[in-house]
Amino acid sequence: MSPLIENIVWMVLLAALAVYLGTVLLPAHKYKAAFILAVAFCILLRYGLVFYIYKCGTEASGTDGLIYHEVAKSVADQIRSGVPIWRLEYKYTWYTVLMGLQYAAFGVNRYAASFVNIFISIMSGFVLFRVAHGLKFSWKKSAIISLAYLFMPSMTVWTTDTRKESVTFFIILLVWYLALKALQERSRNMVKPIVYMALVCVFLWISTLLRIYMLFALGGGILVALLFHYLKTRRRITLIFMAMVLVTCIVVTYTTIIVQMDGYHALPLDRSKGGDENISDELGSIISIIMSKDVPEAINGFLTQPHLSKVSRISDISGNWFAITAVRIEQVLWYLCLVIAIFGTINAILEKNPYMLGLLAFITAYSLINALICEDVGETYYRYRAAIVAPILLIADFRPFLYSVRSLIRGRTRAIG
Amino acid sequence: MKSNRLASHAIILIAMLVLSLPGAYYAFAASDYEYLVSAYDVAVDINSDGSADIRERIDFTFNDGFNNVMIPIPKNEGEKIEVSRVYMQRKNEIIECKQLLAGQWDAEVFTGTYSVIDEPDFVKLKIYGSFYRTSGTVFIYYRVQNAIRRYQDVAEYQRIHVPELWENPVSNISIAIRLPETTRPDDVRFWLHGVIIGAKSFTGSQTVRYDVPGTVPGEYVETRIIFPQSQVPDCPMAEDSPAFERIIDEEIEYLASDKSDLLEARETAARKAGQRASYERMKQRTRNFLSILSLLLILGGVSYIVFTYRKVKPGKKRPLPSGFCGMDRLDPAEARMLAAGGKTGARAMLGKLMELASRGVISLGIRKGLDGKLRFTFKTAKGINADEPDEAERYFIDWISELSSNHEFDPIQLQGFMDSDDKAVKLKTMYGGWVRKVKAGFLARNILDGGIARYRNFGLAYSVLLLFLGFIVPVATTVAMGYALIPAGLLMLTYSLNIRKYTGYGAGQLRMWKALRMGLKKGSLSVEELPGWMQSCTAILGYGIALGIEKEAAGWIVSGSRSCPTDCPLCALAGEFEDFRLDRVVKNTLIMMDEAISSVQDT
Repeated sequence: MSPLIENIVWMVLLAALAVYLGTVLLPAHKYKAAFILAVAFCILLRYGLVFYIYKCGTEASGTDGLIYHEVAKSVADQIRSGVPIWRLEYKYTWYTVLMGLQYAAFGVNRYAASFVNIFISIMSGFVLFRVAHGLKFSWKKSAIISLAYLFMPSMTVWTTDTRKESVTFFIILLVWYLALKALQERSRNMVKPIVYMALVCVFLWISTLLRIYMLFALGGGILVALLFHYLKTRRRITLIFMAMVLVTCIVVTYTTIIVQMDGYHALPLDRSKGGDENISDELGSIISIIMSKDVPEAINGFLTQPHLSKVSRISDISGNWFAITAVRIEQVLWYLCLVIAIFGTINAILEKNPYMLGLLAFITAYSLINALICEDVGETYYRYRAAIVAPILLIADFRPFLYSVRSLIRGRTRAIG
Repeated sequence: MKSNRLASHAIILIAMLVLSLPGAYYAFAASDYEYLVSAYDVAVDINSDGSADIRERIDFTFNDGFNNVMIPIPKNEGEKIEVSRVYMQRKNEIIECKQLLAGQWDAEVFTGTYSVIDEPDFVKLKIYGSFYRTSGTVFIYYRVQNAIRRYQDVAEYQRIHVPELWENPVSNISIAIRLPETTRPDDVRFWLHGVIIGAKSFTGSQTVRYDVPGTVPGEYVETRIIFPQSQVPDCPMAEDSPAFERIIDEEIEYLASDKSDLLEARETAARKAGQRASYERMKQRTRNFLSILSLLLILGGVSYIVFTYRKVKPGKKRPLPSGFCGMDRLDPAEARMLAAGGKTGARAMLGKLMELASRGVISLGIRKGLDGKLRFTFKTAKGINADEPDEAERYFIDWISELSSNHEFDPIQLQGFMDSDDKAVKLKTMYGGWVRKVKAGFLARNILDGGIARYRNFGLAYSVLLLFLGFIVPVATTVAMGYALIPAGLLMLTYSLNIRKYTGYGAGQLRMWKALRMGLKKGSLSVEELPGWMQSCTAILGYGIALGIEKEAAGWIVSGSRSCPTDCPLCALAGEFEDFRLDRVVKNTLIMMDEAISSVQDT
């Protein structure tokens, strides 16, 4: 099969599967067809982008995406030569193993890996929709959140290349979705909630393999949500869930995080000397990095970089007027989103909404970790920040806050839970 | 509806306005250089074959974090540039950078690597590293083949060392060009182009030195030297003709040429520097202003709490009236709300059921569960015969009747609402409806008078403002003090939400109910001291449950330190307890109800 035909087959199959899953997974509504059409358009846009970014060939385009492609080829070679999956030698992140498995099964094709990433991103959009709908948001609001996420220019770029972002964001959203399902499960049959909880724990571990500090941000956020949920509902199942997450965090810390930190630098920043001698040196390095930072400046950088005046300096888009303008518009909309999210945050505090407080804890922990250890380069902040875009979109609504304050002032009792 | 929309639009406008502040703050700020070159030392050794070995040391001052720098090396026609070594400073030591091959890229590039991009007029050297700190230094070693043009009479070295392409200011430029051999000063001529200010000298009979205080974008540093062609015997002739006169003429022409572009570059740079300095000053002043404003806002919040506390704490120090005189007959649910800061829950519900039983509205029963534990049940067959039941009470009795099967309400029935979303929503709605009515009834008694309502509303608005600024100010303007606004806002919000506790009525009732709670808990009260409507065991237990002291209340009842009315439903049941303790039965019932009521709160 010629490479072009192979790519067309991949594109058609994955697009058809995504559209089919959309019809199955999304709740019925009169605008469901329009929503799925918009998703199909988004898929086409991303396919176009794949051909644009690989116009100079798949073996020379990109930075991290190219590295992962190279490692995945070596993983595929190992698999083909009979190395069992648990003995595979891979570098950087577990995402390269996923890519390697795909290469081993279907042949080395970076286009196909990008198409799979696009498919996973679309699934993230669907999961985000389900989370929003599960939080009792209206269908329209859920659809707007999902489409805003899918059509965000930066998100489109980072989840289209053969980077790990697509899988990482999907897993983050999946963990929150499963946690929501576990908390909302009311049947007397305990099998379903236990399965959800076990899956949350498994995905927490996988998220750590993808980004080493994700366990603390994601696990911490889930624990905060569970704590507030328990205080509100006193359900014993919540205590069981908390215990499971806590045990997972402890076990993964010892079996995965410490092992990875000892072996090589998975943290994005500390590339100082090619690896510290032991874990205490490693922690020492991290602490020295944190101590050298101006914390308010770092938090500002993580949440607001690249500033409008510096967008043109991003090396990947330097000189490209269209891309610079798109990033500037996205930045302005992002600032607006942050401002509106403040109202959502205050409302979550007012109502002691466990799930929203958990999301806020995740956003805070992830932002602080990245602000403190990430290199203070605008484009790096921009990319790492993408993981909190979906949770922020869920929080960014000022109307519930207005309702709560109005109710409080008018003396209605439903305002505060 | 219209006012709702108006308020929503107002919020959007405010949000947009606030958004524009940090946006404008950065978007219209004087554009800053990514980095400055604080020192540029160049040492050139001219070889007899016409090539030149060049060593450059470049000191950078970075304004932001950086992971690569691009250094343009100008290339004249016929020249070939070979970069041999590149070093960079990292963590106080000098490391040698590795060259990346074409297309090579991996995660290790930022540990100190470089790539060479060969273009017609320049060789662009890109050095990758993590320049986190404010300063960094790189060292570049390269050879320029055919750097010398040899003529019949002289040899010429003409080279741009700081190109115009470099759009960053470069300071302290020092260039030393060493000729292959020593020679008399009269045999050497040298010039400096591209800058207005700069010194040049011939030292040690062999080295031409250039010292330039600095260049700004638009300026460049070009050196031109002619020296005896005999010093480069191995260099091929560029032209087999003399060039001395032509070069002198060119230099005279350069000297007389219009240098307004250089002056303009200086003026532009000075203007930009002025703008930048003004922006920095403005930024610093804004930060100082916002720090002080944050502090003042926090102090304002604290003053509000102190002021309001003084205003609304009437009679705090007055002694309690004897015999609970003045104590209002609150519903157990209201008493629960008062004592637990607005909370209700299963305690309020069971308390109310007991209180209704004490009044004979419903009757009390006992049932043994499959686990062998006893729990209370309530018979509703008698229907409503309460004296003038209020709205909340009527709602509650209707609800309990609806829940009952065969006119009996068993708390275990509540648990049937836990296993599906629809049922859970139904239970929450019914329970929520009752709580709303109880609250409304209590609030009607504990009215916030106009003054306190204003304090409350002001407190709410102020706390929201503190929280809003607490999120905006420190993030947008990096003012650390701004973060203190968040806890201050939360404190004020909590205080404002609970202000009803501090009304004359609320505070007075709270004191008496607290005293009652304490008395029951310690067992220091006699039945006669209690208000008349609370003197039956059932009522005491109901209020004890609502106040969270059911164990002590049960103990007090069982100890017999009371003279209960003959129609007390609880006393009538005494024989049915078998070996079970009263407090255990209460606990079993409460756990059952609490499990159901709590678990539906997240619907």
